[in-house]
Amino acid sequence: MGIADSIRFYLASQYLAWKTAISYRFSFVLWLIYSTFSEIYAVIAITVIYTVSSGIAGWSYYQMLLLSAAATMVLGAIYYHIESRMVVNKMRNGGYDGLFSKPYGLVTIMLSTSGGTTEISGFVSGLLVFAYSAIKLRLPLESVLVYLAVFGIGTFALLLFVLMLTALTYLLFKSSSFMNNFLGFLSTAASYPINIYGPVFSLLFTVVVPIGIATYYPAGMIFGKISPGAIAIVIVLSVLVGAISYKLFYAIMKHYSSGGG
Amino acid sequence: MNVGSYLGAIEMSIKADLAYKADYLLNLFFKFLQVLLLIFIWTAIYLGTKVSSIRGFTLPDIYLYFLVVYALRSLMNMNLPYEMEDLVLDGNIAVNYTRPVNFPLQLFFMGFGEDLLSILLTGIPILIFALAISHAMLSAFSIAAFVIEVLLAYAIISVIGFLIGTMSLKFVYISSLINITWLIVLLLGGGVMPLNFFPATIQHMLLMLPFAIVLYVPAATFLGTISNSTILFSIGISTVWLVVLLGIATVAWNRARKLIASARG
Repeated sequence: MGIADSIRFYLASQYLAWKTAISYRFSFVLWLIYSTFSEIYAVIAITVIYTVSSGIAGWSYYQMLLLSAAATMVLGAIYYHIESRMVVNKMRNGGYDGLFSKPYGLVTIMLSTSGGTTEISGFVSGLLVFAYSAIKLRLPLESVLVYLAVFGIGTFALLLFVLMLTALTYLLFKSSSFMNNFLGFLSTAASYPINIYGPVFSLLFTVVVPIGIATYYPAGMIFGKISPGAIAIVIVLSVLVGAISYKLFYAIMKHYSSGGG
Repeated sequence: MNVGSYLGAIEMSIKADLAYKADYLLNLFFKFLQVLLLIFIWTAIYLGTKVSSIRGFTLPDIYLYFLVVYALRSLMNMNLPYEMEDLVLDGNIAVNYTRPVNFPLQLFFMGFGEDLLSILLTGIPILIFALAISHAMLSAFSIAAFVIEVLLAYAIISVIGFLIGTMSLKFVYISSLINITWLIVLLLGGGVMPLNFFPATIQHMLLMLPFAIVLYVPAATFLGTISNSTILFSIGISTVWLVVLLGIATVAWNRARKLIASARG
């Protein structure tokens, strides 16, 4: 199966996911609202922080808004493709048994059929705040485009990392609670510059749990806090994280046996 | 009143929680990490602002504030609506409803069983730790007020949870609603920052809502950063809220339980 077939499978899966989600209208609308809530939450928190204080040294109000919006976008993109709670439950109930027999790569199947449709509103609300902050900061279009390119690479690497970690969690705990908590933690951590967490956590958020490669470093680049050389390293690191996660995912899935037997 | 069955509900919840020890410990660990992140963030804000105090809170006060909030969060859970949603989803709500016990009370005690474990393993030890490192000398008034506030907060959270839970009888899937409610409680109740960091007008409005008593008021009482008159006002307004919410919950339950009857045919 070629890339075109994989894309067709992805789009058909999205269509089905949307049809299913919309069938419970009340729940669907509430989830859409809930997904936008994390961004509203972040905007209120940052606004109050910058009202009562000078905020975080070296970061203006709009820079912080842009960073937290980027974090919401990353998490929105991840949840849209991999809703870890659903993945673990689906693995436990044998929900993937039929899907894994389809002639597509495991990663394609997982990313096509494991997402939370309503998380799109989280991504969109993040994008709106991002655009608003970029306008207020008068960022040149080319800077925004470069940012989005680095952000895209980082987000894809992180998506593969989360996919790998979700599979590992299933293998180790058979429980979704770890990933739920982990992603909640990541969401808070990524909304602020990772250097405030001290050298150990900064390193952790760059290499071990690479949230920084999708949020902090691209933002640091357009605000001139990080040199282009460092960004080149971050891009290489993103590719490495993505490739290692991809390989590890397949290695973990060799030990996969569904709850369905 | 069948006390034995309610005690049984508590015991069952505790056993269910302990059956997934790793899950339980991981939950506690991540709650702690969330507090740690808040401490890092507020340290950066204080260092960035180069002031010793923001709205009456010094940096050590903020550390203590989040520590106490962490302890309080261990008992302010939203277990009850999740229990109701599960019962509706697996159809067991009809079976439970027909048992000769007060169903809402049974649900309350099931949720309480889960919370009791958190209170004993997390809440109380952390409060003792916070008290030890703060060297705070709590007056008899502060201790009494703190206990009353926590009890009121627990009752309010339980009633709000029950109210949301009754919606599962109509809409089935209510996880999103539970999550939204919890985020509102955290933001408006002082889980993200002390409420006196908000502009004065908003702060006064927030103190009129039932959420302030959940985290901010008890934490501020513990730290001694809130006046006695505000404490008394909060307790009074929260009692009114509790009565109002109980009234709404009774009406909602009387309507919702008809849906159980119709489901049984």
